[in-house]
Amino acid sequence: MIFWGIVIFALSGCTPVSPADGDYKIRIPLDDHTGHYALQDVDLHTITDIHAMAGTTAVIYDEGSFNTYVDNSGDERIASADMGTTPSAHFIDVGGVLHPADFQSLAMSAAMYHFEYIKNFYDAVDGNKGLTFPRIVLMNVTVAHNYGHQQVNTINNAAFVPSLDMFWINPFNSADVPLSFNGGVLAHEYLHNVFMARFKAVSAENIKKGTMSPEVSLNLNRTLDVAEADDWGPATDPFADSQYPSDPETPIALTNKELAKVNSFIFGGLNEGMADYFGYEYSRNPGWISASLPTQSFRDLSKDKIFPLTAGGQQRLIMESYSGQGRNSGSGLDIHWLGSFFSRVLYLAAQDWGDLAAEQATITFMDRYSNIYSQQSDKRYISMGELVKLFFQDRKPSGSLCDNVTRMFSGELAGGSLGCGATLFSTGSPP
Amino acid sequence: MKIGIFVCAIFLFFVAPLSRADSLYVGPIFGGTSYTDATGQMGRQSQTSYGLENFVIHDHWSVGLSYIYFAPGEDGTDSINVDQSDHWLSVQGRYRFWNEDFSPYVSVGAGGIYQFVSTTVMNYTERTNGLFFINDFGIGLMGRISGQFGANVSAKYYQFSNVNGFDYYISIGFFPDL
Repeated sequence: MIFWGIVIFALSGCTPVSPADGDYKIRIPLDDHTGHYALQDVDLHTITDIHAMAGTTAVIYDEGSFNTYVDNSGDERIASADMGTTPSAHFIDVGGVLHPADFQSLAMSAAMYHFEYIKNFYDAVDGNKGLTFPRIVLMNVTVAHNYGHQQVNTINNAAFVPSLDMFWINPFNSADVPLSFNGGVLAHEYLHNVFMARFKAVSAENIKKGTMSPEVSLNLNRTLDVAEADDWGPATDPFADSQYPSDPETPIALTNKELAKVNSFIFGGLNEGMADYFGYEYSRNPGWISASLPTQSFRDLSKDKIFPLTAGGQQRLIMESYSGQGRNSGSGLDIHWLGSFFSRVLYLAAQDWGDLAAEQATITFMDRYSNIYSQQSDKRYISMGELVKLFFQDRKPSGSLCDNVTRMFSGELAGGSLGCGATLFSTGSPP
Repeated sequence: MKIGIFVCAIFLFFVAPLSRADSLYVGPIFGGTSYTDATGQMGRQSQTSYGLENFVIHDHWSVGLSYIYFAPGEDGTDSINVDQSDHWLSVQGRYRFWNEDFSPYVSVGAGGIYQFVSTTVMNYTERTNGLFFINDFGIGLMGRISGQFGANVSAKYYQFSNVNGFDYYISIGFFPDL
């Protein structure tokens, strides 16, 4: 009798102690906009299962694994894929605020929070056009790249993967702030998703009209993959210490295939630049990347910089990058480095015009650039300077914005070419 | 706190009417506890666990208190990390198949698990603790080894909140004179 009494008592407690579905208040570390993180109570609104980390904005899976290989044409392909499993996050309820009880629960909660708020952030500029929800996020995903007999596992990285339409956050193996806590990193990846959706929409229109570039049409996924991911690039600014190329060239005639390659590299750079800029706008911290990846601090948007390449110099170094060991080999340009100059332009525009105006101008630019790129990228060279001009097409920079941008791109843009300021600079060797 | 008082009350309810014919056992616990891995509902991690248990034996029945400590430990990076430790106090009721010196048994238990969590963010540490109702059931083997020395081997499944797992331990202790 006593035994069965205890059995009934024990089984009566089988229902997990869990908060009701709906809105949740949760305690996670957040950036105070200077790179200093501190615990704060925040609200989540779109959760359907807090333990499973599922919501109407995002669904998190954990510990998936992908194996890739390089095929004969040099493309990286997926050999095996495992999405991982549904998490089982655990919390302590302290006065109605959920405190994650272990590190993984904390990391997933932070990622879920950021995806909710990043979606709202992009809603304000019509940035979620073409995206479906919930977005899929794979955390702690192991990605093994197989190069012949060599296998390299990706760590300390995050990516939006266009071909799979999902986000990856790889294991983090350093002393700094893991990427899942860094709202700037996640907003950066989200921008890749936004840009992909807009580019695909523009491409679909051009395919319908018969004006799509054959090269882009044939390699649509490959084109997007150029900008896919964030291999975070070289550890330092490759042109630090004034190691500028000694002999800037004017653009040379390239074959259609070569043009497509060069333009796709710049496309990747612009994608990264816009992503860095939106990482700033979401996090309100121009140096958002430094808390997690201090070696990438050359991408800090508040840092003054001069783009050291002429139009010809860009073309030459990009071709050299392709003929070398790849774009992130350090033997040539890196798309994140290239993009850091464009993100600086957008940052300066935001300081002058206000954040919302600069964000909207960037979204408009995305569509225009997508249109030009999808129709002309195998026919003519589209340089960084031309793209800066394209950004300022509707609204000319003035005052210090004009001076700063003209000075930054003085290697390619002659003074007055942005439609502002005096003719202070001419094309030629960068300073 | 309420669960702790409840656990003690249940224990006293059974211990108070002990007669001299009943046996009381006290012994340290050493074993392992697995628990649900937050990264996947199917995955579990294991930690070494320690503790103390006592129980009284009356015919086929046994009831006692057990305390188990295990700590998943610190996880994360230097900048952001979480350290968790768990203290599990429960009343264990057992039915012994044989009323002999040594017998296999089935058990059920209930009590509280106190979780202590330290979350460190950029050198600032915040401590939180939570109390959950925990229940378990399992099997084991217990009895006298020689004279006043005894042993208990236990394996049980437990559940609290959305966490579950297995706990298994060996205890070698003694039966003090009542």
